[in-house]
Amino acid sequence: MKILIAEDDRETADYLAKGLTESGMNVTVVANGPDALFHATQQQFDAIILDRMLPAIDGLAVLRMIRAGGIATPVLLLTAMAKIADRVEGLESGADDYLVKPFAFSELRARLNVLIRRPATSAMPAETVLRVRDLELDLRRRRVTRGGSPIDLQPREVLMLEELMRNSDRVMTKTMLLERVWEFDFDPRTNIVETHISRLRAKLNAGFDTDAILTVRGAGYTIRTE
Amino acid sequence: MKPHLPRSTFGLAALASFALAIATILLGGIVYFVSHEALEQQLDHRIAAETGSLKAVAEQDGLGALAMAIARREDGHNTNGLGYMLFAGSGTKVAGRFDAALPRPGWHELLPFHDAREGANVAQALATPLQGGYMLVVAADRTPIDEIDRSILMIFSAAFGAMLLIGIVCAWGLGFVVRRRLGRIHATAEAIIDGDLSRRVDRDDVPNEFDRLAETLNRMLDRIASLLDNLQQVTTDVAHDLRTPLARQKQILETALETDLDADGYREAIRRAADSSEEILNIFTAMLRISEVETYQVREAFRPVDLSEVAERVADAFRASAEATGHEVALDVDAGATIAGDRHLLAQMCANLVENALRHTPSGTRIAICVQRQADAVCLVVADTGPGIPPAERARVLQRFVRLERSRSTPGHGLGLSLVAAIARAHFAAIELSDAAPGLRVVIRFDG
Repeated sequence: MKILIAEDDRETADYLAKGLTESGMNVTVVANGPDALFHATQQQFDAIILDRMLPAIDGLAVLRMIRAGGIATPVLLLTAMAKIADRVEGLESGADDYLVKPFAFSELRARLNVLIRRPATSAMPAETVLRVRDLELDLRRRRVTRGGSPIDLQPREVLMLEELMRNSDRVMTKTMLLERVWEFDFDPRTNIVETHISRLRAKLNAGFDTDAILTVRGAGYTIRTE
Repeated sequence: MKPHLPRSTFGLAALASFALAIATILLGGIVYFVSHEALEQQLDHRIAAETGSLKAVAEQDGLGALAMAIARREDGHNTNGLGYMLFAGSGTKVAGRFDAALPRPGWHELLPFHDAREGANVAQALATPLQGGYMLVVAADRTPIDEIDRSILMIFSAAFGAMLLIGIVCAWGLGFVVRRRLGRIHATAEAIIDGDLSRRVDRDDVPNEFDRLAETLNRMLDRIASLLDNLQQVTTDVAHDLRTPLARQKQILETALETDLDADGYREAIRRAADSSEEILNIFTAMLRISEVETYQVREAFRPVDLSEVAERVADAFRASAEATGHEVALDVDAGATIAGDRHLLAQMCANLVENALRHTPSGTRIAICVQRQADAVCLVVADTGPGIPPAERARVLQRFVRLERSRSTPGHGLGLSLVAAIARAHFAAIELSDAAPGLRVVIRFDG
């Protein structure tokens, strides 16, 4: 996995580079806009972590130029401000995801993993049925079965399961699920995700020995393919 | 340097009076010209009429009769300011006392003559040839015209001078008054700059434009003072509310440093310290969100939002957690209640209200979320059956960092409802806290 990190804050860049290298990724670090633009256009990366504020050429401008150049590499935008307008602007400029500083490394890694489209282990987008191990989700009829027996789920529980199944083997964090299932861009102080996961888990696990959803401590939830 | 018009009060007043003086001169010139022309015409008319009547006498009764008529008019002092001369073909004057040389036939504007009393003078005259080479001259004295001309000039010169004088005095007076009034405002502003924020501009007893300006300035100063007070208050509150988790963090870390712990013990201490940082960051996030919403820039991104769908989403999100703590979440929405807004902020507003109800009510409380479509408005109502808020404290809980005494022990930073209030204001919505008998009812009314 080749990752480009464009971040002018030395400490953040080192922290990211160290963490990602330890996760087995090949990391290139640049500290300004022109370098980011040069590397992004000259080499093939699996993902780009781009700080919104970069010297010489602003991160957003770099992003627009990369996209205008027809480069579709997934971009995770980092920002120091949680401004609503910034978020909209970032996504409109072609960012695939958006993370506000300060963030936990586990959050960044989880988002990065979801951004990097690995050869599908679960389902192609065009398919109408998602299959992970003994779980099946009929995308059109919104029906779920485990080991062939139907499971009665609420619409939003199906949505949450769909997110987990589409990203099987990758960790979905609480904030990612909040964003994708309920479209909440804020962090409620109530344990919404935990409660919903435990309900979903109870419904999926009834009558089975293995846990359908795994909790990754300090990070989030995942569904394993094996 | 580019020349420019004066901008001081004195300069403007001086310019205005100078313009008035110029206007006086112009007016004087016009009056002079018009009256002069009218008098001349009148004079010409008289001369022509007299010439006509004398000519008729000569044609009817002969030159002798003409000479007689002239003599009669002159003797009887019946000349009406006119003078007469009758010249024979040889150029010899045969009648009339008017003393001038033989003129050429026709009109003469300024015919020199000798006046018995005033000496050399000029007159308006008409020389008319008669039969037998005779020449009749009727002349009129121009003195009356000159006298009127002179008095018109005199009057307007005096008026011009007076105008200039009055103008200068007015300009000076006006400048003095305005400068004195502005000086008072200036002095107040200087005092405020030097730190005395309580100073206000002096007011008059009678209404006038200076007084209105002073009133507006004072209101502006009141507003600034209240904003500063608010800022001061918020700064103090922020400092106070950040102090608690920061102090806790410091204490956790120091204790861990001073104590010999095993790896798990240290990990636990670090985890607790990290939780404190999380709490501090949450306060910052909430504050930044509030100040962002309060700038109203978010309005630029407003789109039609289905408030019913937002309420359903929020109810769905919180229902499971609410049931886990023994609360009940009920949803009653009119379908398709659409307003202009920011769907993320509206979801956060609704979520904050529900969370607030969850946090401050005991187990067994029912929380109802309603979206009502009315003729001219859409209302979002979140009501609980909990203990409610005393009427006196309802307005206060919308302010930043305000936490009622009985909720001091529960987690939270006192910013949830102030964010609700800020989001409501950004959406031009009115927020009202009332008694749900029992419990608290929050109504957010979006006027359509």
